[in-house]
This record gives sequence, C-alpha cells and structure tokens, in this order.
Amino acid sequence: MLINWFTVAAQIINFLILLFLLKRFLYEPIVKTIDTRQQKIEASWNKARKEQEIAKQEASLAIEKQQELDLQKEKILTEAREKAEQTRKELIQQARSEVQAMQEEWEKSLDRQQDLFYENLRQQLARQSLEITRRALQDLANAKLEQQAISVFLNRLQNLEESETKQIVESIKNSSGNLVVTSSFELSPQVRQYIINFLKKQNIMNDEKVTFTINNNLILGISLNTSGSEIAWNFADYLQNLEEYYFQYFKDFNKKEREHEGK
Amino acid sequence: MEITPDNIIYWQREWLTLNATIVFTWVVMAILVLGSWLVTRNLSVKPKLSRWQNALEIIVETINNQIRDASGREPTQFLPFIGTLFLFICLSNILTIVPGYQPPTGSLSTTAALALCVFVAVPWFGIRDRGLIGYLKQYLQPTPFMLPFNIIGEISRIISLAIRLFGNIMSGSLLVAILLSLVPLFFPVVMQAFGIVVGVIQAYVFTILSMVYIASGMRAQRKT
Repeated sequence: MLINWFTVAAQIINFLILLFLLKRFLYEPIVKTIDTRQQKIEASWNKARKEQEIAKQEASLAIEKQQELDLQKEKILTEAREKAEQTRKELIQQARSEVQAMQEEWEKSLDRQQDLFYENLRQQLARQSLEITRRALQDLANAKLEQQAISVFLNRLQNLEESETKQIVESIKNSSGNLVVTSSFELSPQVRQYIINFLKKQNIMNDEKVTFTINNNLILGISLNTSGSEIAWNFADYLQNLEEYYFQYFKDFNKKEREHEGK
Repeated sequence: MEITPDNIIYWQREWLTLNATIVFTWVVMAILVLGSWLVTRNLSVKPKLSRWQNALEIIVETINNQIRDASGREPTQFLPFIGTLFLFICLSNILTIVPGYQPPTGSLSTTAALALCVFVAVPWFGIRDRGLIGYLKQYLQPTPFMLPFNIIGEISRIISLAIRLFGNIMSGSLLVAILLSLVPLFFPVVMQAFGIVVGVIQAYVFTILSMVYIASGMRAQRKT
C-alpha cells in the first residue's frame, strides 16, 4: 500500500503547522515590509510630484517674469536709444547753431576788420594823396592846398545856378538863419570874414550868423550846410572812386581766397 | 531500495510511526521556518536591503505575481496557502541533491495530504467568497444531471494532482538510484541536476494548478 493514512494525517498537520509558521515568520513580515516601503515610495513619489509641480509653476512664473523683464529691458533700451538719438540731434543742432553763430560772428568780425581796414586805407590813401598833392602843388604852383580848397569852394559858390542859390536861401530861411561852414582845417579869422563877405556879396545871406566848425573826417574839404542843402568841396570825393576800386578789388580777392580755402 | 520513504521507519509504537517522510518533512519545515525567521528578524524598509531579505522579497513577490496572473485576483488571501505549497514542494524536491535525503514529495502519502489540503481549500475559499449555497450551486451547472460528473471531476483532478507529483518525484529518485547501480560515475549527476529542474517544475505545476482550481471555483460562483 503506497498510502499510509497515518502519514497522510501527519503530513496534513505538518503542512498546516508550516503554513502557520511561514505566515507568521515569512509572508506577513515580508508583505508588511514591502507595503511599508511601497507607501514610503509612493509618499516620496507624491512629494516629488508635488515639488515638481511647484517647480514647474515656479519655472513658468520665472519664465513669465523673465519675459516681462525682457520686455521692460527692451522698452527701456528703446526709450534710451530714442532719447540718445534725440539728444544727439539736439547736440548736433546746437553745435551747428553754435558753429553758425561763431561763423556769423567771425564773418561780422571779419567785416568789421575789413571795414576798419578800408577806413584806415581810405584815410591813409587820403593823407598820402593829400600830402602828394600838397607837395605837387607847392612845387608846381607854390600854393597851399587849403587855400586852393577854399578858392575852389568859393568858386563853386560863385558859379551856382540861380535855382540852386534860391534853394539855399530858402533853406537858410527855413532853418531860422542858421548857417554852418565845416572845414577839415582851422580857418583864420580873415578867411572867415572873407567867406562871410563873399556869401553876402553873392546874396546868399544877409545878417545871419555863420558857425565855423572843424571836421577831421573831411580829410581836406570845406562845406556850407543849411538845414536842407549843402554846397561843398571835399578831397574825399576824389578819393571815392579810388576807394571804390580798392574795395571791389579786395572783395574779389577775399572771395577768391575763401573759395580756395573751401577747396 | 524503497519505492516510497514511508517504508523507511525510524521508530514505531503501535500505530504511531516515525518514518522518513515525516522526519524529512520536519527537516524541510525547519529549514524554511528557521531561514525565514533569521532573515525577517531584521527587515529594512529602506532601499538598501540585505541579500537574503532581497531574495525573500523576490520569492514572495514572484509568488504574488503568479497568483495574480492565474486567479486575476488580489493575492493577499491566497499567499500563505499557495506560497507554502510551492516553497515546501520546491525545497523538498531541490534537497534531493543532498546524499541520503529522501524527498517527502516522493511519498504518495505526502502528495495525497497536500492534494487533500487543496481539496479542502477549494470549497473553503469558494464558500468564504460567495457563501455555501452559491458554492454548491456550481455542481449543478450547467444542469443538475451534471452533478455526479462534477463531483467525479473534482475528486479526479485532486487525485491526478497527488499522483502527478508523486510519480514525477518518485520516478526521478528511483531513476537516480537505478543509474547509480548501473553507471556510478557522471551520468547520475546529470540526471540529478535534471531531477532538480523537474522538481521545481513540478512544484510550479502543482501550485499553479491548485491556484487555478481554487480560482475556478470562485469564478464559477461569480458567474451564477
């Protein structure tokens, strides 16, 4: 007989004992440990997932902030560029204005210097010419230049047209009898009296008062001034053409110089 | 040369017999329980585990997975019964490589005892799951005329379970014993190694079939 029923019963009991012991010492502890570990892993996993969510949110927030910052930066940069450009244009405009002003000032200064130069030139020319003329007159006619000037002046008065004389008389009347004789040199009392007598003789005046004045700007000349007319002889008139010639000459010369500098 | 370790008797008084089957069963039990106790004394829930704890966790998890695959249910309630069946049969069979060892599974008494346990476990789990009437109804399916055939099928599959294991292990032991007398060198070693494989496979087959029987009883109840 292959089956021993006592052994069968004993083996059933043995199996049940083994089942109980293994449940007590193997399955329960192991399963409990695995479950505990699983719970811990799940807890860690959930925690990690939450932290990952938080990190994602923070990352997205950071990205948004970064984008905002970038926009702000771009805006600030654009504003700064525009401001800089505006400032640059203003500075350039200001510099141009200053340069323009300086150029104008310089040109004015140049013009003033030019005018001064012409004035000096004119005076020098006049003086030199005067001196030359005086010497020439002395050498040739043995005559003083001032006397010749007075003679020419009186001669001009003598040769006045009737209408001109009438106009002078009218103007003397309008100026309440004020007559002014201006000369570039001192007139002696005899010469003054001579002129007064000559004017009376020419019926230009009667008993009006004549005032004699000296004007150095005349260079060499003498004039009769009323309120509305003037009868004069002035060496400057002769110099006027010469001065105009030189003025034109220097003007052209300056123009050429400037064009040359510009090139 | 004995065909079953039941016949190797160490001690006997009247009907009380202490044969090799019982003694080596105790040996296997002692190894299993002591080993489990030693390992599970200091269990760690931290990721760093001892090798033995790791091995036991793998074994338990593997059994759990097999139960889950075979039954389609949560393995918790089946684990002690199915796990004990597998571990006991498996270790009993593996230890055949130890000289002088007599596998308890080579005794028809042992396999019959285990099969009887399965025979009881099937209605035990079935009734616990769906109640007595619900369980008994399955024997009347698909018609009440099938009742005798269902009962015969129930008994026969338990007998086949017992005899399959017994036959395989007994034949393996006998084969090695016969070969040892014929070709004493080398060849028995190969056969013994082959015997271990057969032993593990038989343990797996016995366990999975038990699980399938238990689960089929429970599934049958659910269908009704």
